[in-house]
Amino acid sequence: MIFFAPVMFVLFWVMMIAQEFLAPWTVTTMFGVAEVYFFLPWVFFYSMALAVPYPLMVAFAALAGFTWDARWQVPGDSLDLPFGSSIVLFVVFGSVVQGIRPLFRRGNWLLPVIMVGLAVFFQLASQYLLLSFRRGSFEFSSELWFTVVFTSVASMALSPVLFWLNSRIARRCGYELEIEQFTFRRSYGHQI
Amino acid sequence: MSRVNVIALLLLILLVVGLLLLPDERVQRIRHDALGSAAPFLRAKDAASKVVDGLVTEKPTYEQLEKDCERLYQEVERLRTSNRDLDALYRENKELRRALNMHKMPNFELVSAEVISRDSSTWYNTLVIDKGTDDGLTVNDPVIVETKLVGKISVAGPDSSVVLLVTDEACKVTARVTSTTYVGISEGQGSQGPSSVFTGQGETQGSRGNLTPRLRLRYLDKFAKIQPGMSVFSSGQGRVYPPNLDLGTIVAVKPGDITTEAEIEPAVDFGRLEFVFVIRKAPDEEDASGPEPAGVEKP
Repeated sequence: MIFFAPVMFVLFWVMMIAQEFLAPWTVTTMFGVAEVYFFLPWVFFYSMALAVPYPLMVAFAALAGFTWDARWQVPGDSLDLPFGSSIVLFVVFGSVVQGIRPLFRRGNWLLPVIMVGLAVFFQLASQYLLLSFRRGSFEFSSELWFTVVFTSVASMALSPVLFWLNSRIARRCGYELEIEQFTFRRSYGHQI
Repeated sequence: MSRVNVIALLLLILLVVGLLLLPDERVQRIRHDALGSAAPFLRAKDAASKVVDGLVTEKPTYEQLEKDCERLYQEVERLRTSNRDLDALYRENKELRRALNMHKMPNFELVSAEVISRDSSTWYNTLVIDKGTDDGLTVNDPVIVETKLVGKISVAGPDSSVVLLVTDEACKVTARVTSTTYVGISEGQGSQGPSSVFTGQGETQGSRGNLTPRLRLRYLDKFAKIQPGMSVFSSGQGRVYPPNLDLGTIVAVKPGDITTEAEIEPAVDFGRLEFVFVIRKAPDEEDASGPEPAGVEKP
């Protein structure tokens, strides 16, 4: 853990830098046009939330939320998303994702992947609802939902790569990320 | 829940409350620093995309460049002549204003800037330019291209700035319908969903899909006699944007019970913006025979 946490911290900044180079993709469907965003720091945070203990997840939520709001939330006027709101959203949905950490530690990646997508979906939806509430205009277009859903699906697609990366780094750092998985495998399907 | 978890959560709550109570100036300062840190990467991205563009686009021939150069020389000469006339009008206007004891209009100067990034911010229509506070820019400075309004500076970093586009719901402009006295407030259409301007491939979505980045002109007189095809300009009220900047053309009018609303097709093609001008307030003039209007080239 002593080595794993600093490496994750560095990797988070790498994700923030990589985010600067990513532009949204436009997807044309039979129902309309949607933009697909690749939120690397978000996916990284949620994949890391499955790998670290709760207090460390909270610390990373503070870091991720602060840096995201500082860089990506643009202030229009006083009716916009308040500075620091992303921290709350990260810690709320990070806590939910942490709930399936035992499953992740057993080597089951299917539900964690879905959970990452759901966390991104609900975080985007929460931001939009908060923004609409503060501006006093609730408008839900099909394009909006397509964008939120496609972005969540893109996050789900990215998450296994980050799970794998985290596992590799954990192994290198001597952090037992999936200890139960190995015991399960070594015992040929029976817990030791 | 263990004691460590509780302490972690309490510390987080303290942090969030502290951030929510931060004054706007401190938040702006944090965003200024964050944008300053991101600027080298934005420039690297811009440089990389230019290299790629250079590889795929065809280079102009020597003859074409010579022709362009000649055309530009002629354009410069024409503008110099025009500026001489404008200069005389400016002085005359200033004298008349002084004689009539009218309020002095703020003096502006233009700073040219290059678009270096289209932000992938979800909920805002923004772009990043390569000029910032080091060049004298401040938050809320208007950004234009030709005589068309692009938006305003939302975050001013040291050597780059985030421009909030007029197509964003948060960017409000007091606007006037041409040839009339009707004044309303123009804002981006929130119903178009998140960040509906850029496709990431340098095109507006409006040309292909339903996400046309249109503006809404609200709070017009209930009995306003306006119709599609009329142009809309900034009115200059509010003193954030100078008057007579082109916002777009009315494409639809929706009469309401109390006010009338109009839909505007923006004058700017945001997807193809490469260079913009930022209007910053010039220092006040000391005497009547002071300097020429800033940003106007001397003949």
